[in-house]
This record gives sequence, C-alpha cells and structure tokens, in this order.
Amino acid sequence: MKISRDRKARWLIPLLLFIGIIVDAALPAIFPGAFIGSSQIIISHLTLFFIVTFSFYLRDTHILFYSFILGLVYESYIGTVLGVYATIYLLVAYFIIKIKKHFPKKAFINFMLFVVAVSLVDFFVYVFYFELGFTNVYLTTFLVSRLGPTLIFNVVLAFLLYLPMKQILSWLGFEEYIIF
Amino acid sequence: MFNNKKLIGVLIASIAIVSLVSYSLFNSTSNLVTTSVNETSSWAGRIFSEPVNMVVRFVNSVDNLVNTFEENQYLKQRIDQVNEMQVRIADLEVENEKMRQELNLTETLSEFEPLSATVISRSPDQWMETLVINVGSNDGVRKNLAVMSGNGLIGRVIEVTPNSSKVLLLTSEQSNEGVVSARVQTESGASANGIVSSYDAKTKNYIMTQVDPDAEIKAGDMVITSGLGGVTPSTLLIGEVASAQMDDYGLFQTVNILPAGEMTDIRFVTVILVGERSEVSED
Repeated sequence: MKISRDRKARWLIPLLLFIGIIVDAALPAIFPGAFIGSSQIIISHLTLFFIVTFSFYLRDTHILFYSFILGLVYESYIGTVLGVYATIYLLVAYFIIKIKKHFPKKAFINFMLFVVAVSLVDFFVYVFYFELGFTNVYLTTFLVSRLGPTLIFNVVLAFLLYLPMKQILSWLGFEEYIIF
Repeated sequence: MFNNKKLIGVLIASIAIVSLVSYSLFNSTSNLVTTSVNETSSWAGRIFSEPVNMVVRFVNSVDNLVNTFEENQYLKQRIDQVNEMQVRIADLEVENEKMRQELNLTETLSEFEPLSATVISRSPDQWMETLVINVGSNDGVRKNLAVMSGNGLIGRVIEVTPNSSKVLLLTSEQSNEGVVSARVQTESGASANGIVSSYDAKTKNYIMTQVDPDAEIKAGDMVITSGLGGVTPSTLLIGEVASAQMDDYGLFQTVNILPAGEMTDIRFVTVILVGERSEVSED
C-alpha cells in the first residue's frame, strides 16, 4: 500500500504542478481584460496552491525538489529572470514543512497558509523588481491594485478547488481533508 | 538550528541562486535546456489557449457579419479614392526605387513581410510584460523582430524556440529592449527624430525623448518607427502625439505618444519579418 502511494505521488505531483504553471500563464492570455486590466492585476497562483497543499498534507514527496525545479520551468516559460520564483517556492514549501506539526490538519488552516504564502510570494517578487529598478510602482499602489485583487481571486480559487483536492488527496491515501 | 554542514550548504545554495539570477538578468538565456522546456510548455499551453481563441475568432466573425452592410456602404464610397491613391503610390514607389539605385542604396528597412500569430500565454505578474506566441524559428522568426498588434508596434521578440517565441512589450521598464528609434511626421514635412524610451503607466503614454527642440510638433501628429536603429524596420506606426514639451534641461523636446497598438487585450499579433540582413546588434 505504502509503495503504490509513493509511486502515485511521484508522477502526480510534478504533473499537477506543471498543469498549474500552464493554467497560471494561460489565464491572463485568455481573459486579458479581467486579469491585467487597467485598474487591477490579478495573479493566479494555482501552482503555489498545489505546493502549499502537498507540503502541508503529505510526507516524503520530494516537494522541495519539485517546487524548485517547477519554479525554474515557470520562469523559463514565461519570465526573463531565472531563479526568483524557484527560490521563493522552495522557501514556502520548506517553511510549511517546518511549521505544519503545530497545526491541525484541516483544510481551513491550509487555506490560511495559502493566503499567507500568496502575500509572501507577491511581496518578495515586488521587492525584487522594485529594488532592481524594473518597476516604479509604489507600495500603496501595489497593495491596492495588485495584492488585494490577487488575494480575493486566490481565496475563491482555493475554495473552488476544495472538492477536487479532496478527491486527489484521498486517492493519494489521505482521508481527512475537511474544512472544519 | 544550523550545524556547520547545513550552514555551508545554505551558503553554497544561495551563492548559486544569486549567480543564476544575475546571469539571467544580464544575458538572455537561450540554451538547449530552456529551449526544450519552453517548447514543451508552449505545446501544453496551446491546449488551453487554442479553444478559447477559436471561440473568440468565431464571435468576431459573427460580429463582422452583422456590421457588413454598413461597412459595405462606407467602403463603396472610399474605393474610388483608394484606386487613385494606389496609382500614385505605385508611381512614387518606382520613382523611389530609381532614386535609390542612383544613390547606390541597396539595403532598405522599409521592406517587410507580416506574419500573423496567436498569443499562447502571458506573464501573470506584469513586472516584465512578456507574451509567448505560436510561431518560432521554423516560421522564420528571429530575435529582435518587431511585433505589432491592433495598428501599432507593441514589442520585440526576445527568445525564439522552433515553434514558439517570447515577446517583450515596449511597456516594460527594461531599458535595452524597450528602446525604439522613432520619427514624428510633422505637418511642415520636417522630420523630427527621437527615441521612444519609456512608458508612463499612469497616463498610458509612451515617452519619446531626444527630439529636435525646433521641430513644431502638434497633438495628433503620427509617430512612426524611423529605422535608424538598424533593427526595427521603418514606417511602422507607433501612435499619435498627445502632447510635447521641453525637457527639464531645455535641450530637447519630450513627446508623449498615445499608443496605436492594443495594450491589454492582445490575442492576435503580427510579427514583422525583415530580410536576413538585420543581424546587427542593437548596440
């Protein structure tokens, strides 16, 4: 039983992260008016949701390795700078593995950790580009026109993914994925 | 928490990451690994973007059909003028060609061939505004080619794989790729050359600098690429002048340009293919 669970996780996790990358990058191309409109910019964080969830619920899945490699794939596919998302994905996965023993394994905690992770990633990337001079957006503008809409979208995304995620986790051998 | 071995590991890892970031910042990375990764991802990305683009195309064509009658009436009125103009243009082209021969000017950047492409994906965080399009080196796309959308210039190809390529928009703050040499078509006919060097996100205008202070530039004048950079072909529309004023030092004029290209709703783009000669680097 243990072996088959590992084998499932070994190909399912990278596959889901890869699909996450493709969907994240395709959404703004498909709905440009909604995602990168004039007043707000919404960043979809499906990949990050998978990273947070898998590192929170599952053990021994090489999630650190996968999050770094898939972060590099993400940047190579759509960005121009290599290494920013890879590092921050790796750090998020590492911190969640470190702190998860202090929390009950509930979906609600998972969503909260996801919200923290989204804010952390966006803020880290913003500071990176701001300090290097690639953008001159001020912090208040960033908070209002980027972080706010992004958080709202990603919370909705997490709730929509609750049932599919429950299926996936129970297929991987984890039963108690419940909201409360 | 950290013992010595771990500390050294963390140090080496962070040095490796910092060098990777700085290397990819200053060199455009295009090697075998990134090419194969991008190629695979863009094939997967097509699965998502292609159906939506098909629907958009269908809706647009229905939309066109609805408007056909009115457009037809309008176009019938215009067609006489067009014929007249075509005859004049043909005449001018022949004349221009002869003068070129007389001056021994063989290289020209005003000859190009458009190639239409579909957007597969866009960078979700809009710090570096990049797009991936569905044509690549197999279709003749090379680095540094100009890309148009709507009516105007929007960006430049920065990475090419066999079947897809990456475009950086002019609205990005990156200094090297965002610079285009341009010319204002003033009413008096005098040329006013300059450089479109940055983008003002607040007013949504391009900012053109280094323009002759004596040139009389009025709002509404058209701005086109001048071809003086040696990379971007000439006579591509950039936009029209919104306002012009002297810069802070009083040496040159600064012109705000209202972009003619579509900046948000980019689904279909046109890559401007030029002859093999423009292997000249930007600097």
